[in-house]
Amino acid sequence: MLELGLLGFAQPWLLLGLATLPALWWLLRLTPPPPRRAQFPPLALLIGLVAREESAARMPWWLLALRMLIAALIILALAELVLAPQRLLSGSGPVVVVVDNGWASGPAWDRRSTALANILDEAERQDRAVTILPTALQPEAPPDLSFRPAAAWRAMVGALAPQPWATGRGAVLVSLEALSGPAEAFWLTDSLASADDQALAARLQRLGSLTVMLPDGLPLLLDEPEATATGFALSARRSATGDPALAQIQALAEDGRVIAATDLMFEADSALGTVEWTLPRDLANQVRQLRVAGANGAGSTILLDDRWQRRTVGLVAASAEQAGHPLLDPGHYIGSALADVARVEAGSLAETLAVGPSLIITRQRLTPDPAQAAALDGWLEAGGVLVRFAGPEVAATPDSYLPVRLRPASRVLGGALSWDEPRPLAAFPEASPFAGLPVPPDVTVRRQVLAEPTADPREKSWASLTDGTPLVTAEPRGKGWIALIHVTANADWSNLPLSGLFVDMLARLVRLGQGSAADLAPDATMPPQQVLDRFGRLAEPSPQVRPLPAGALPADLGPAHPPGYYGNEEGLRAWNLAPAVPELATQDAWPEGVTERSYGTGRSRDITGWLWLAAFVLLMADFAASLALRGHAPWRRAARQAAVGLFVLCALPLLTAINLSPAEAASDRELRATLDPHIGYIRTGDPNVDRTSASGLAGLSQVIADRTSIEPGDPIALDLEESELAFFPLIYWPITPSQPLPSEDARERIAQYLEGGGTILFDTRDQFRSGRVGTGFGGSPERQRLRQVLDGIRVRPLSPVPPDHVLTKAFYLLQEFPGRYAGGAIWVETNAGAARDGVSSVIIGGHDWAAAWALDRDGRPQFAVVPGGERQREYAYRFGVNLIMHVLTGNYKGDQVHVPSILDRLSQ
Amino acid sequence: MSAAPATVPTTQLRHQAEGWAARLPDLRIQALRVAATVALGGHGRRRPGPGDSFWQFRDYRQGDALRGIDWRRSGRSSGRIYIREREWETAESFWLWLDQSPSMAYSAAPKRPEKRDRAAVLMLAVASLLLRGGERVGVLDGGESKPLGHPPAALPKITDRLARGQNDGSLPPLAGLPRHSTVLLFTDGWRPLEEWDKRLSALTAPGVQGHLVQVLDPAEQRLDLTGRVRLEGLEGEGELLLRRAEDLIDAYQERFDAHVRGLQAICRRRGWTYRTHLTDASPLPTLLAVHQAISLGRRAAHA
Repeated sequence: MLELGLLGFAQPWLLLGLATLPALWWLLRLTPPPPRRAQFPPLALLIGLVAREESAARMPWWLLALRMLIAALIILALAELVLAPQRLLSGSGPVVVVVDNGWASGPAWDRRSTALANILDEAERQDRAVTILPTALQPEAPPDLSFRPAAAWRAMVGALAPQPWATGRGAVLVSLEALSGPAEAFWLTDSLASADDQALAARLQRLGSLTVMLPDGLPLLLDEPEATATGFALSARRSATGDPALAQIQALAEDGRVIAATDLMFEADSALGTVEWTLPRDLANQVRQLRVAGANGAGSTILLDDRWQRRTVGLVAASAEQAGHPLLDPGHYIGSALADVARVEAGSLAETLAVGPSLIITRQRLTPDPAQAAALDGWLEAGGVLVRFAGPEVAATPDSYLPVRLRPASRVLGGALSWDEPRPLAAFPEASPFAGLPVPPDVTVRRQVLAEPTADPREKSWASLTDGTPLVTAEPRGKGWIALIHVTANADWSNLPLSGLFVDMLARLVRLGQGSAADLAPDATMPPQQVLDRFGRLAEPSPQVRPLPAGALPADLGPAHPPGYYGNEEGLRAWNLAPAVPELATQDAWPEGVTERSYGTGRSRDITGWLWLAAFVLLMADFAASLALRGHAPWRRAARQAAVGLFVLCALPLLTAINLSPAEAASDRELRATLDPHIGYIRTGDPNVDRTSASGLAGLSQVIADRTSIEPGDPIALDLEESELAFFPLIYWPITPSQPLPSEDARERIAQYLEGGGTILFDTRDQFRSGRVGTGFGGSPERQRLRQVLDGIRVRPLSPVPPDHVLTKAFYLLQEFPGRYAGGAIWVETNAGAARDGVSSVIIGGHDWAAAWALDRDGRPQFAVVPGGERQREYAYRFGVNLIMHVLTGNYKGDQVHVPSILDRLSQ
Repeated sequence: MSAAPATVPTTQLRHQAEGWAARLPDLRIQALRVAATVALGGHGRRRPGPGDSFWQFRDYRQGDALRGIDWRRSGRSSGRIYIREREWETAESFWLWLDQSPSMAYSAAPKRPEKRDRAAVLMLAVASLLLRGGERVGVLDGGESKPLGHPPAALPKITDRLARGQNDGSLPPLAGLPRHSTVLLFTDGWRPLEEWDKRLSALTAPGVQGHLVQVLDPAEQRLDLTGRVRLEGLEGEGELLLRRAEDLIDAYQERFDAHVRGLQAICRRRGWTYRTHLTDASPLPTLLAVHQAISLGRRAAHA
């Protein structure tokens, strides 16, 4: 292979043919084309004039050039011209390629697959056998080591994808033992250090030579956050220390919406970035997923489950309680124990019930009035957990909110009048929510209230002392529980509140308040529900994914247990990658003699086919030109033009093959777009949808021109990657599940358009199906697509159109916004802001408005509306008119609310 | 009279001739249209003059010869004296010749008519004008040399004669022409000048006037060729290879001018008129000029 800058030749010796071009030039000049023939009546006049000597006739220069070009093209095609050759292979013999496809290779996977394809291309040109070894842990079979022709690998390379778990280079090392050299080895590494790196590099080097292709760096790894009282404590790791860096962390709700975002800062020279993220409780409890914005891959996604939910705990305390020393106050111990897991709301029973706690703790007698009692019962039935601490009052006069009947007297152990020692705790029974908590031996109980012996008080017992006396008893009430802790919440009766066990127990009780049944059945294995795919998105699990055992350790993460959600409808367990990655370190030391390269972005391109095509077309042109020269064609001039045209035509594909940008043809359309207001629509690539958009917006424009003073021009189709968006007050964007996602560049421009005052009407066109699909976790494919489209574009919080929104009165008074389908809400920005004059930058709905607006050539509607009626279509048009009015006039009509009062005042 | 050129096969020639005959009615209509335009202008053949046929009666005016009074007519009326006028009659006849040699079947551009077509239009138009003027018109084709009578029957007869194509020489045939006749020749005139000189001498007799219209394609007037061209003649002159046609433009122009000037001189020597017509121009100006020349010539003859 010969390389000349951007060009390479697979058969360079054929280039010697170019040396024959001068000879060809000479020959072509010597053999002129046959003369043109013509009739000429006064030939006699010429007879004496013609000189007798034979001078060599000249071939016209352009024909000569054309023929030389054809010859040169053929020679280049024979030499197999390759554009932008990526020269990777150097030696000979078979090629061994080790590809890291663990989680760390996710973000820059394109470069890896390009490099892999380049290696395959080159190996194919050189007829060398290839074997490819992916290093990500495989579910079953060890890597296939057979050498095959490069072409046979292409399909496999296309299917090769980064996996959301770690690499297992040790397994590759083992399978490499069977291989004997010589071979040329490549290691397309993700540069995440592991224990087997040196051994693997040395082994590969022993095969012959080793080239290591290194990425720029490791991706960010988002750690599991900690739920704090005010939100989350986020931390993320990176490999490279050095410049400060900023990452945007997005919090996603269950249905995939981004509900909050924050910035995470890496200090210079720090591998760890942390941020304390304060979130309102309601919002924090909705968070199901944390993600690094703009990054993909499993490492930048963290799934959250109920363990991160912070609940409100109501602490019922008498208002007239004298505080005294805080260490004497039982509330102090409870508050301290719950500080990290929940928000504590203290107050009367009525007050605490009002905040909707998941757990109510009290150490008083509960004597609610009938209204409060009903509320409390209802709350218990719905799943609330009432935790009571014993105390002198309760022991003296028990009330009805106790799991067991109490004996009137309390038991005193180890007191002055007792022979017993203070009792330690027994191990927690299996059925208890405290099961598994370690019992410190120094926790003892000196005094407690006692339950009346019943048929089987043990059944109600969640914890007991070593002599079997229940310490915590509980009784279900509906879906909720009433639990009694038989000691006080301060250190009077027991040192339990001083121990760490107390904190753990309260935390378990708080979780019980969430109704997390999975914790109650620790032996159950959890079947997979959704797992992360290569891009860090949730997807259906493949059959290879096994249920997660309850006691799974982070190291179990692998092909059998990829990151994702496991569990059943009673509770989901989030299983994340980050705990399985102990340390984020880059590979640095390579053995002597290893070639290090970075991944190039270029893909070599074989343009031999284009050259042949160009030569053929030029040959045709030459044929036509020769005919014209001989005068066979009366269309001689036309033929010459055609020859030029053909030349240009065949030059064009060559130019595009070299990736020169084509001439800008869109400027005319853009000029047109500036002269009148036009509605733009995004071309989705689905011809039906695009046609509907065009005719729908044309129909709407017609209606607007008829009814209002706005005269919009024809709707203009927009290509996200090319078109300038800034000229359009409104862009209609129908979403199809298959439409291509915008590139980074296009996203940037969409964001700018929205920032700059533009409005996009997103139409998921799925209102009809939304009843069936539901809105949870993903919704319809269109909505999922919409989410992917909007990924990385900052959209302000949305809410359904409020009844006093300007959209409801910009031209017509409307309260519903039907399109082809009626019903359902449309979403606008909750607070569009004064800078935008109250115009929402995005409007989202699923009503398929364009179909309702679409008219055929005769002005008849193209699509039936559902449920139907001309009234619905009329309302669809009215919505369109209001929408255009709204985006063009902003909140102007918002002032109309004052009109009645102004008129009122004027009439007085 | 040169024979049909050896290079053109007979069948092809016949096809050409048939095509030509088929075109002739069209050409006749074209000619009539052109002639009608002219007739509105300066025609005045039908007028009283010396002759035999009765023309009209008119009132006697002072100065009229007594011989002219028609006494019988005057006697029948009361008090009016009529003069009997006769139509101006001449013994003049017009002889038309159309060059139908292969070189006339030439057109260098697809939209231009062939020289032969244009020449036929001119000839028929002149014939039509003459016939309407009451003149006697004959076709000079080596056949029967008798005038073909009066309109409206004469014009179709002329057309027939052309279609029969009996005359395919590139020089007018020799014919004993009566005195006071006028010859009109429509040709491209590419025979050598000496032959023309001889032939016109033979045609010229006392009282015979002549008009020659040289019908040319613009491509013949100027050598508009570039590059390497192989030219072939239409009358068996053979072929000629031009290496660089553009080099010969000036030389050709000289020869062309010399030929045209020579032809002009030959005509002038015999008192004939000479005129060039290019096929890319309208036939009307040429027709007018020919008509004018005919009128002038006759007036000169009768003056």
